[in-house]
Amino acid sequence: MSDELTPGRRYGDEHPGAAFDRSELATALRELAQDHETPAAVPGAEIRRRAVRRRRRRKAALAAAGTACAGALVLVLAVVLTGGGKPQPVPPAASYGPRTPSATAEPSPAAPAATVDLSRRELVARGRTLSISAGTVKTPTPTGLMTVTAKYETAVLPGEVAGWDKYQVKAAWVIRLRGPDDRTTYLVALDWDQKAPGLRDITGGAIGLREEDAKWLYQALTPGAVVEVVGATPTQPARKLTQSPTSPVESSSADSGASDPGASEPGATDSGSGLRKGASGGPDEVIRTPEPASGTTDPAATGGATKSGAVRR
Amino acid sequence: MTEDEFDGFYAAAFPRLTGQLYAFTGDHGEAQDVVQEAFVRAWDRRREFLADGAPEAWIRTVAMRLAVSRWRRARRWLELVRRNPPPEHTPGPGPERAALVAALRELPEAQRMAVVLHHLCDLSVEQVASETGAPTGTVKARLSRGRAALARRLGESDELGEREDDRVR
Repeated sequence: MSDELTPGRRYGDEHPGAAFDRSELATALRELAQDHETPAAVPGAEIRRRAVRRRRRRKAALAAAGTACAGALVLVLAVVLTGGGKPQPVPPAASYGPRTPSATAEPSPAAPAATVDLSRRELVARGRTLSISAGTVKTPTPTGLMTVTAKYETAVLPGEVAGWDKYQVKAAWVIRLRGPDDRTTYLVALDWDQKAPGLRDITGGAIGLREEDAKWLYQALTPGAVVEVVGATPTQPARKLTQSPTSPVESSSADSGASDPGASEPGATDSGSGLRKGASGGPDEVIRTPEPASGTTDPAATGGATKSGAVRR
Repeated sequence: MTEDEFDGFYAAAFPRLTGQLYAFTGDHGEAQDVVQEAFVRAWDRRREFLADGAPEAWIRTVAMRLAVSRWRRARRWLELVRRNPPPEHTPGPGPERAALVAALRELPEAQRMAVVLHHLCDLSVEQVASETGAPTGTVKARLSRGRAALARRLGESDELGEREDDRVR
């Protein structure tokens, strides 16, 4: 290959002396290059320093670009999330009742239109107090802030919600509520036991009302309205025996939430008397400092909590 | 490559490379500039630079590409326009050498690069081809045309270039 490209030989024979052959060119080029060789003007250390500085600058630029990108991403996400979160609650508010406060993802800022106190078996709405009959101790009514999602003059409810074992129950003046964790419960007219409201809890989780009360409430509440359910099913001495063996774990877990204010002052509880410990922060204290007396204080704590009736708030 | 090794390599290779780049660019300051920049990049990208196995060739390639870079040339031109160009450092070129430089500068860039790489830097045609990203046939054509043009400009007969051109094809 390179033999073909050696015209010097070939042309050298034909044009001796006249040819600008490759070796001549190479020599000329070499001399030219050699004449212009220059020693390094800058020491090698300076070259390295420049390289390091350049790398640092590039890194900084990359980091800046990265943070800018991240910031932009966060901004976009925030816009998407808040923008995506708003349209969901707006359609019901616009279609059903313009008066309902704009319930965004958090219904908590909205003032509840009705308050249900399970402990007192009362429902308060628009200044009226209605008697209710809620879920039994075994099938408690879920508590928290609920939202009215639908209303039916008559509806067929699942029996377990209404308090009938397996069958479906046809009920009147039904208001469907959806609470946190997607739990569903109902406000219903308690056709089948008009005397229970205010006296006994008989349902499987629904909140039962006398028929005329239910009708009035049906007209008072619109979808989107917030109903707050507080308190706990009042336990009667006879039923307490059936509950205590089944749910010590539940009550203790609920208890830890209720006793948080007490446990938030560790100095006071640690140095305080055993009575204080047993009364307030039973399970927490037992886990932290296993004491010989813990076995005796624990049941007392759970028993006290159940008695006080603070199950879930 | 340790820092000392790099410094040694830099001190040894820098003069040689500036000479070669001068033959390519025909501009002393420019040659020094691109070679220095190539060394900075070499230290900046040490891994790539060492993986190549031929550090001097790596530097030369980078320096030549820098010299070709139009963006870079435009910037340099702006610099030259803005302030007075530095006095050209000319270590006593003979008249025939000045003619060679002038002839080289008039060659198209591709031909000039092929000529310099092949005849000055002793790269084979295949190496030049891989360096410039052109097929070997193209490199041969560039070489012969470059030589012919040089010969013409340096007062040689056209005949030589023409015939050489025919042969290579």
